[in-house]
Amino acid sequence: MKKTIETITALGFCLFLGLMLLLFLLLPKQDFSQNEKRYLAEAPALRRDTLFSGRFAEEAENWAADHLPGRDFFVGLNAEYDLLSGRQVTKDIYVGKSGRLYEAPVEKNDAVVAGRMETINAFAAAIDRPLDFVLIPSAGYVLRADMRRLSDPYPDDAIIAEAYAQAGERVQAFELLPLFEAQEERERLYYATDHHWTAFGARLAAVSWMAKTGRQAPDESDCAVRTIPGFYGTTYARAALWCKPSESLELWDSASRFLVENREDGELHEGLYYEEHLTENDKYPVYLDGNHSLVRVRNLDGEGKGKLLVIRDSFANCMGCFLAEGYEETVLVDLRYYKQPVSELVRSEAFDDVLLVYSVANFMTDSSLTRLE
Amino acid sequence: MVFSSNIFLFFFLPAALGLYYLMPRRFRNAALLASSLIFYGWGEPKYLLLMLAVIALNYISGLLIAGRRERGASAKAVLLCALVLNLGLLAAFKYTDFFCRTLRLLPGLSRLPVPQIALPIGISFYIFQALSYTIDVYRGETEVQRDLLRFGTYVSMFPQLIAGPIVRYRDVAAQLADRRESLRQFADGVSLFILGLAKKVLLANQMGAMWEALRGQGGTLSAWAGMFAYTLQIYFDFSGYSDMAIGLGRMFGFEFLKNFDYPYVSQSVTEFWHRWHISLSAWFREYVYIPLGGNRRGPARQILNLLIVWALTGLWHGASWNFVLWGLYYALLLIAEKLFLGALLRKLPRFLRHALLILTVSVGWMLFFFEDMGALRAFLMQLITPAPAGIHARNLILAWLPLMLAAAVCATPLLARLYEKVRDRKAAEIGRLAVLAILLLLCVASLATQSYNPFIYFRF
Repeated sequence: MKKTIETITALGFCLFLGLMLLLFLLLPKQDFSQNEKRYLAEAPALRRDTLFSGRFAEEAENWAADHLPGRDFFVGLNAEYDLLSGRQVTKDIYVGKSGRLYEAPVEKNDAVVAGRMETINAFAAAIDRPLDFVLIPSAGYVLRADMRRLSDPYPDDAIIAEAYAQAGERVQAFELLPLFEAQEERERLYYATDHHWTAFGARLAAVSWMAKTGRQAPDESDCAVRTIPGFYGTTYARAALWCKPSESLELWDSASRFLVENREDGELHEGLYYEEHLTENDKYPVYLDGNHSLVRVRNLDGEGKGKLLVIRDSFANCMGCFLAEGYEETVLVDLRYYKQPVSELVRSEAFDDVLLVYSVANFMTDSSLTRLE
Repeated sequence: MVFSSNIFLFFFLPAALGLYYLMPRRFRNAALLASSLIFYGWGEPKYLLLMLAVIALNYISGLLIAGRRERGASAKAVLLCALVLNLGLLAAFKYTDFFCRTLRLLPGLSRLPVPQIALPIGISFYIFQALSYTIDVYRGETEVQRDLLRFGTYVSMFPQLIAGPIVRYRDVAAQLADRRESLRQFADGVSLFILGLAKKVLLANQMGAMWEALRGQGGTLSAWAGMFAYTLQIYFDFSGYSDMAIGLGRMFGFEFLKNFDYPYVSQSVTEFWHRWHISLSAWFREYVYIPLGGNRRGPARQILNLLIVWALTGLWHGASWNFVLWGLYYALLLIAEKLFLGALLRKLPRFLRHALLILTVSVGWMLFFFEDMGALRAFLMQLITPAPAGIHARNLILAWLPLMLAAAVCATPLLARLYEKVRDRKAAEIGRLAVLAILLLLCVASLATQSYNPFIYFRF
């Protein structure tokens, strides 16, 4: 018996190593990781100079790390093990009691909030007109009842209160949080595998805000809703807990027709939705093609409805599709990529409304907000 | 190359084992030597020459010493030359920066240029290892090795090249010439290797993450928890590596001496240093303490000897003054224990001895960790100043607590003793095999995650 155990130990170990080596060499290699949204390392070049400088060794290590056979399985195994051993609070994705995934909370930093509001107030003064301001609470806050023990608390309510309290005269803060909290089915507002809000949540916010200016969005009964299954978003990829069911994403179509311009070459795209993204796991970029510095959405059936400027993060990709219903032209600017002063854009075009909409997490962590001028 | 990497586990090791066992017996040392040179040159191609030089230097010294002995002449000059060259190389590569930085503190020398010399990996280990050979040949405690291949294999053997244990030549001399690999030894090696890998990847790395996370947090509890986390990290890191080294050695037919013997169950500092990094304290005892006179020249001289040996031990660990202080910290405690503290400790209840030892060693590790004295002082203040820890810190500590407790248990011989009681039962053996398999998979999983970097806002 002892001898058998010894044989199994020795042989098992050698076979495992040998098998991994074979798989490393024989399996076809992927160049792009859909989950990580990055290119995987290329095979290192074996030349005299790279060998002697030690670069070959480094590149080989990166290559071996990126192309480990069964890498997704192993990363998932590790994620499940960490979850089982209760070390969730050490990660940046929380798993709720229901199994939903949430981004971990940001810390409330009064100095940062004050700095941001100073920039926003200064911007409002620079454009010399009312500026609408919406802070979107995070899924973890609105759905905090789903949190496991030993999770850090979400300070979204305090951050929003603090920021709104410091809003200057020209800044019109919109209370989205009470609206979300009043919802009976809060789970409908956010995705379970992505940090963004759903079309339902985005539409609720857009319609409520537009109602303030007397703008109407098409009634729910006038819209055709397409449900696209198989959606796995950002938190799913980051958490690496692969055994979760996928969810669906909704595409709302009304009678209005739209033209979208978001590339430097000025090429126009018909319709709000970029359906080539529906073949990927992370389908969220279907709304206005994900992140671009400047997006112009023209509502061909919205003559005379006016112009809107939205200064935003990726949450407005979805919200913008609903906002576009209420205006003739909607311009969305992403400060991470848009390098010119936004006030110049305001001066050069006649906007009826200027809206600054950010999620609390990006409001606190996105340093590009400091460039708002 | 490090043992806990994909390249080592899935490329180098299978190739090295394959090459070794495919070779007929008489070429096996050569196979091991070749693999070891590749192993070392992989990470440090430039410093491969340095290691080859150290091999040549000590091989030739051994021959010269033996030659002079045969002729009845004194070989002292050769020994001194060898010592100067070996230690000189070590000093040059490891301590030049330190030396210059220290000189800068003197008035008038503040603008002394500090050459940035990169530290060749493993240099502290293999130079000490090679020196042990030369000194032992001089003392007549071992036969000279005329086979360069065998000697080269001894110095460069990849299992213990990078992080020890420091293998004394005479402990493996016979095995270099004649060893019979066996299935039992190989299987033992595999077990020990996997356990070592698990200690490093599943325990040490996690405790390291805990320490890293808690260092930025305020509050007394954070400091204490962080300190214990580091105490566990450094033990599992080092003993894990030693286990992997000894396990790998067994896979190639070598039996190295154990380097750690559950040091954290010690009841005194004296006992601690008989259980921690055994090969290093043995080396210093054999080649520095005893030549200096040890305890045979009176108590005053013994105290001086201890101070010298421990200052050097500290310095061996790192080229910075905090390491010297760390060494002297233990020197003072050891001296105190010899003089009066030992007797005092024996009067205390046992659990108090254990607790005091843990406390002493943990604080010592803080001295080891913080190179900057200001940061050390701030941390020690945080330990003794009552202040509440924030909710995030408390959550972190509670989250890591189960693993920390498991680690603490693994730092004692409890599991080994429990296994000994049941080892003859079939279920126990199968259970152990299953545990090893699971540990190996979890280690690979953890290594895979280290490179997993989802890039959320992707730009094409």
